[in-house]
Amino acid sequence: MSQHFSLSRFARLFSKHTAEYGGGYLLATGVLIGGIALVLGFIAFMGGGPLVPDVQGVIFVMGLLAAGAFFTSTVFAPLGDKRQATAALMLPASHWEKYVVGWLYAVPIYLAVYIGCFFLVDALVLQVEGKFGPKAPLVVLFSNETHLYFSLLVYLVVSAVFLWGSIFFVKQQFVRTAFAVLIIVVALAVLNMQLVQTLLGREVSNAVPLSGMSFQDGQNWYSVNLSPAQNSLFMEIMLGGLLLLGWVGAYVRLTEKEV
Amino acid sequence: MVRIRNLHFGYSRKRPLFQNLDLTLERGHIYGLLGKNGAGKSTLLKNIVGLAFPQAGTCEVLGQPAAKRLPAVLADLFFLPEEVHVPTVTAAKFVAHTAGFYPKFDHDALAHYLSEFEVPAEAVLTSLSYGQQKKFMIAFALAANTSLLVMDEPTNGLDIPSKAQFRKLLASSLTDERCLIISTHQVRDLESLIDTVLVVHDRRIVLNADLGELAERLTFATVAEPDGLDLYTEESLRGAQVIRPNRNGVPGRVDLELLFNALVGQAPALTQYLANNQPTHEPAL
Repeated sequence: MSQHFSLSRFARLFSKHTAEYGGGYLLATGVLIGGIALVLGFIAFMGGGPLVPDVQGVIFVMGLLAAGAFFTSTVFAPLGDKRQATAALMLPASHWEKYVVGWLYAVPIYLAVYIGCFFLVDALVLQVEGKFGPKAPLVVLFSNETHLYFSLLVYLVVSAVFLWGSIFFVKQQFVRTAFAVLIIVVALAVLNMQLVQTLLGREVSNAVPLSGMSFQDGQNWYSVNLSPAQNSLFMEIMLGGLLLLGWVGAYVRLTEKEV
Repeated sequence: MVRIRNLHFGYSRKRPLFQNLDLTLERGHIYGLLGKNGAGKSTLLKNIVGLAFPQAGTCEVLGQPAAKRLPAVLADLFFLPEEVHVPTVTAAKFVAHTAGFYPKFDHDALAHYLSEFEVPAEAVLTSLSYGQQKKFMIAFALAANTSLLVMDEPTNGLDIPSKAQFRKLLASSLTDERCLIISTHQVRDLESLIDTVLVVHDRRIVLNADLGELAERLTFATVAEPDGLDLYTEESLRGAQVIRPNRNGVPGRVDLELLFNALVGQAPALTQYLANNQPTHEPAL
């Protein structure tokens, strides 16, 4: 039997994980449905107008990222507790199998549950709203007009970062990961500004990290940016790199985990 | 079974817990690991099972580096920590989802152990008392039938009858194919159970000896007046407790507590005596 991956061993591990954590996940799903219903219901009935697709889309994205980041932070969080870490690490399964179980819950299962819950609740809210006034159409996830599905790609990156945080930090994983991200973003912005000013030998008005910059010369404003195509490619590379870094970093951390 | 060579480990580089530690543990033995609080008993066990990684040196279990935590090794190794974790499922459900990871798991033996310990199989594990949880995990660990069973302070949290049950079950579970390592600071709990004693002190193993051999070489007694030939003396209410060379060769009872006190205290005569009378296995002093 392979020491890296065995389907039967993986199935056993997945089944054990589901049996032991399934109750908590169901409870979390209930909270998620309640939260979505509360937000959509509040906006629909207090907003003074139909719940238009754009608003539904914004709520979808915010909920997806916020709930997903929080949930992903819990995936490897038990490894921060010595007793639970001992039980998990001593279980006869490979690091890769243990990682994949966590990843499955953090990415495909979470996405399926969130999308299902959101559209179910959204449809219900719109149905009820339609009884009291004009009924808005349901937002479409895979639409080439709204590109709402892009948020799923953004979620992958956010989830990867919080997956890494869930195993890197031993307690308060969500707060600490969010704080670490904030610190890194601020430090990057400050360093980028300093670097750009040093390179140009002049003050600049703003310089967004890994993007463009603008500065004033006399009465003229200048803006230096990549072309949209280059910018798009650059963003894809950067986000893809971050995604891989988060996933690989979490796996490596699991193999290095000591108690 | 377990082979440690030149192990260096410490939670801080400035204060190492182990330096150049060598240890070989074989099948067919119950090893008792003794040491003062903070001596590194639990840390040594964690190195053995792969929960802590050596800073230098090697630690191999079943022929593989312990730190790799390979499934094949983990399936033949069970580690029972001092503080156990149980999920919020019934004992029966836990067994149904976990026993399959251990190829030699013995369900009949588990039923017997749980019956002896009086742990209900249908109870939700987290609703049990801590002692009951620990007894369940001990029963599961024994039933897993792994070649290597490592227990860290297993009797902590057990009541007096359960400690006796534990000793009985553990003794009955030893076979020539198994190696059991038990750490404790409650020396009395291990008397009559272990066959080899390991004492960790001052960053190394200061004793790795067969109890039978120790009984042949040493005499433990309580006397009114110690004499100058005693290897170690400790005052007590009943008189002086002494360790002497066993002159007549008739094995007696080994007083583990007295021996432990002598080894971690100042007993140069005893250490010299044991060092000059090395048994066949390694490394005693």
